[in-house]
Amino acid sequence: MTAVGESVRRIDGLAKVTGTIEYTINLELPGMLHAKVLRSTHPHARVVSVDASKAERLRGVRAVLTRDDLKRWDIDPYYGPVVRDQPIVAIDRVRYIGDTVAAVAAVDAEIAEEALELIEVEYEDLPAVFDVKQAFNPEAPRIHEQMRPAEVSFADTHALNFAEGGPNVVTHFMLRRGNLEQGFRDADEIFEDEFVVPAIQHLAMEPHAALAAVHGDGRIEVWSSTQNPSVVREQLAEVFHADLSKIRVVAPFVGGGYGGKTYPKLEPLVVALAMKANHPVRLILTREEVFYTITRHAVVTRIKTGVKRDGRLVARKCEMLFDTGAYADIGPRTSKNGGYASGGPYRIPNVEFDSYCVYTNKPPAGAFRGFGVPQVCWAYEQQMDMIAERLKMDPVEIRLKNMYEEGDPFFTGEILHAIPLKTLTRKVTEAVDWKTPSRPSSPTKRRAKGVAAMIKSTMTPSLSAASMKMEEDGSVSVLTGTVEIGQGSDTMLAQVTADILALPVSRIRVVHSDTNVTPYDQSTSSSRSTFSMGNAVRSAAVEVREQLMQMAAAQLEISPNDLECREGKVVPKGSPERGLGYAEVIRRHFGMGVGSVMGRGTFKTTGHLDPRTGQGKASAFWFTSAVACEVEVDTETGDFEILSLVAGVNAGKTLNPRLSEGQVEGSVLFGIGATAYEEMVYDGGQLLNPNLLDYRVPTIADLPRDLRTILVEDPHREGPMGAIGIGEPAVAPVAPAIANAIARAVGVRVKVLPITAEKIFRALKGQADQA
Amino acid sequence: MYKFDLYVPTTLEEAHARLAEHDGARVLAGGTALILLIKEKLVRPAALVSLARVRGLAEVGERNGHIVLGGTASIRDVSRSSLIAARFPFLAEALGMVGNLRVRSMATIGGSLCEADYQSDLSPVLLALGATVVLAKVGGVRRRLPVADFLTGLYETALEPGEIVVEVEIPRLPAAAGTAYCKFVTGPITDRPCVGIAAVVTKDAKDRCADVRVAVGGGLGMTSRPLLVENLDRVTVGQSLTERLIDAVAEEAYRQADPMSDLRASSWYRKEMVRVFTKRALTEAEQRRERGERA
Repeated sequence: MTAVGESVRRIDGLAKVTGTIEYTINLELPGMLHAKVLRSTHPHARVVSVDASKAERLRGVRAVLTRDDLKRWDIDPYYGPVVRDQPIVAIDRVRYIGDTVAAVAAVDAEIAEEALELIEVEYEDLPAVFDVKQAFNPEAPRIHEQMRPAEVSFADTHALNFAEGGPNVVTHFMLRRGNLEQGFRDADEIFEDEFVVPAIQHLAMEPHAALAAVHGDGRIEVWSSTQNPSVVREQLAEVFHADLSKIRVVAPFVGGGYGGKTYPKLEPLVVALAMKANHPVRLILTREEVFYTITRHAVVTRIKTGVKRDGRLVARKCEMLFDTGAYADIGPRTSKNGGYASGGPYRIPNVEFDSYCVYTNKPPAGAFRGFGVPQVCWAYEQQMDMIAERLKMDPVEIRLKNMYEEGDPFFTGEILHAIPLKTLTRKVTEAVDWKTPSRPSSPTKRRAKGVAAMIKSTMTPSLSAASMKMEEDGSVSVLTGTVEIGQGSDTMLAQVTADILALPVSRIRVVHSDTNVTPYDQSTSSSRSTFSMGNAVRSAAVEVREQLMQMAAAQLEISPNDLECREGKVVPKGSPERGLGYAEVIRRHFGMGVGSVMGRGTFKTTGHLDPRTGQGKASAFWFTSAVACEVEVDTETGDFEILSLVAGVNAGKTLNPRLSEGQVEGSVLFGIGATAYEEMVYDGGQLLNPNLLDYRVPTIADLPRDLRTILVEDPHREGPMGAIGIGEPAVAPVAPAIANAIARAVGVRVKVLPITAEKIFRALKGQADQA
Repeated sequence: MYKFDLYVPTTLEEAHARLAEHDGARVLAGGTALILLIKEKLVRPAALVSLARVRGLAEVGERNGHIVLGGTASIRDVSRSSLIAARFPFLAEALGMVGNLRVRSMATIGGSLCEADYQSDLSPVLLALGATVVLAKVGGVRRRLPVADFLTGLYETALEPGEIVVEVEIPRLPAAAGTAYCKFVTGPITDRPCVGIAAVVTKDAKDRCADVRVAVGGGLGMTSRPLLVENLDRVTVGQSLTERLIDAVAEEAYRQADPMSDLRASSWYRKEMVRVFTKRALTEAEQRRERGERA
């Protein structure tokens, strides 16, 4: 009996579809107050004065938090995972329209909102900068006067060069390998292009929410829709000068994350408000406020590639400007990941990559499904087709010629393992009948196929720990910090446990992240939970199993080596009739009908990059994926339809086929939204579409009718049962695969996302006018 | 704190009485537009008078040779009505494309007209059909306005204070007419139209055009109202509906259309799409006419 590899039904499914699950937005505490946030109407201004006296006098208002409180208290009012640049509420300046100026806690949300209108703020405008290229300019107005690196940060972000390259550069990632000049001299053809990706939204169904209670003894409790309670706890400890053990962060079920709920968001603010109000405080963002809270990085990529006439890539120089908005959030790491990913999944001996995390006066950008890779994949996979076209090579052929293989050194120098890029590319292109053109549905339409592939790292180094408790009835509680954000981690961890302990999944309960209870886990992000927490849980389960076998060995007077676990029993090999059920083993061991057996597991990954060369180890394992599609472009309108799309992803080992396919299909939907519709549109610093009428996202009905997932199993030697994560890899290749198909269909190369019908039509019209 | 009185009358008389009592009271139909405006603090009515329980306002039927759509008939009801599918299939289709199921179930014919959103799917179809809006005032006084006169501008109508849209009257089409509505979106399937073209083609016994109508919706006009393309009689009556004639009508629509720019499209692109989709709508209407899809 094994649960691994089966499409086990998700264990939280029934509760979710019957609406009986608790999300943070549903939680309440006795005496709880409701919070609302006053937001800046100025993109960049000195805050001259904040007067909350009228608001404080409004009936029903319990507290108004302003900068005066932050100055008065013995706290460090700035937070941020890499640089502590974000104040709980504005102190000296506001840095974007939507920035947090003050907050109100009141007996209901309506009163809190009314009180916001009574807070008087005087601003003195400062020069603002919205365009990332302008912000990168040495003469640009400075958005942050000083740099405050976080005391406790991540090992990998130390590989970055801080505050080099201009007044608004947070970090600069550098990678150097081979001899770039020589590489370009050896090249027969050189391609130089610029590609642009705008800021977009995660749009998790559940908006950000947090509930905080501050106790008289100094304990702080927070329930939050967060993807990484441990990081939130560390940051709260730094801000409020408290021991980690005195801060409890609980992550209930989270209604979608996609990176948007990583790192502190509302938690420092609600804790400060609860502190001032002496009551628990809950804040739930409106959809519009979510738009002002976190976005995906807009990126400008300049990519120059040298190739030999036979299609071999010999040199590449990339420069990327990651627009991180007014606060860095995790932008330094996002830009680092985009930096070394900009070479793509191809062997290129001579490279120089420079990526910059740059401030602008816009909402902050942070983690987003794909983590920097979709932005650079948009560039390198389109340029790959442009190269193929000029060299008159087939796009598949040129990719296969250059793709990394098992054992190759990556741009960072580390040796690649379990990266079936060629298999993925072959399979997805075969699935769309790459070589067989299909006939358009009308004479004014054109059809073509496109392909793209990518390679992506995971957060490294990182740490995950799990503990496990087998109860006296033989059922199991799994304690981990992994957050169930809809990805299916509860089910996956239960399957891994069930597999080791030879139990049905129904006998496993996964306890949710609660820093009071569950051991340390770095983050539910970077598609790392299957690999890292899967391994930790596996170790914990093995430890429980070993103990059961030891106990049973004594009880049966037989060597533990002659025992095995089968169907909830410890059984002597070859004579299953003598087996003892787990409950019986525990009962006999303790000599009474009670007791539990504990197991522990820790999984750590290591890595380090040199800050000047980017050489070292970037990732514990590598995600690989490829997408092929067929599009039909209407030449009269520029509109296009994705007729079919096939996404291929390496799963290592598929632990749950149905959940894995769901992850890939979800990734494709994200990719299609970013390709065709999504863009946060600004007029200067004013966001024009912070609502779901004007910010358009695909619905299920907008998915291609022919959408297929191919899960390749190239096992990773360190993965649990060979498995790696699967939540992100299919996102990045979607946009360039579609762009490549469109270019092959009508000869229009769109370099700025999203690809709209109007952009294609305009280009077609231009072609027609020239002809 | 913002508070309002909500009235849920069961008769039109009572609804009118409530409206008359409160200065600045607003009529609440499906709420899909008004509630959003209230939430965004763009309007703050002191009272809302709901029409949800007013009897006899949600009818979809036939009377005195006209098709009648009640003011509180939902978009979904009309889009699924077999009578409408038989009489004006393009109206049923256009309404079936509005927003999503939740919006279609709540939004009403009267509410949609009163919102006067420039991105309406309903307005161009009613315009092409020559529909009339029936308005009722306190005391049962009624007045009738062609849709073209009712819609006066961007989110503006000829509705007077205290008036309620009780129904829309649509004259029958000749048996030999063909109709089509072409909606072009630049976003997901649930998006509002970039352009929406309603076309009606009626022919005489000799297969010559008797009456060709084209109405253009989307982001239209300096006046921001849907456009009923003018002077088509001169171009079409007595002519065969050849590809050349269709081009000429599309050119006329293109010439008259004066679209605006928004996040969905630039005015330049919209104008180009008016030409393309006028051709497509006319072609489809003619094909349907030939197939006798409309009784």
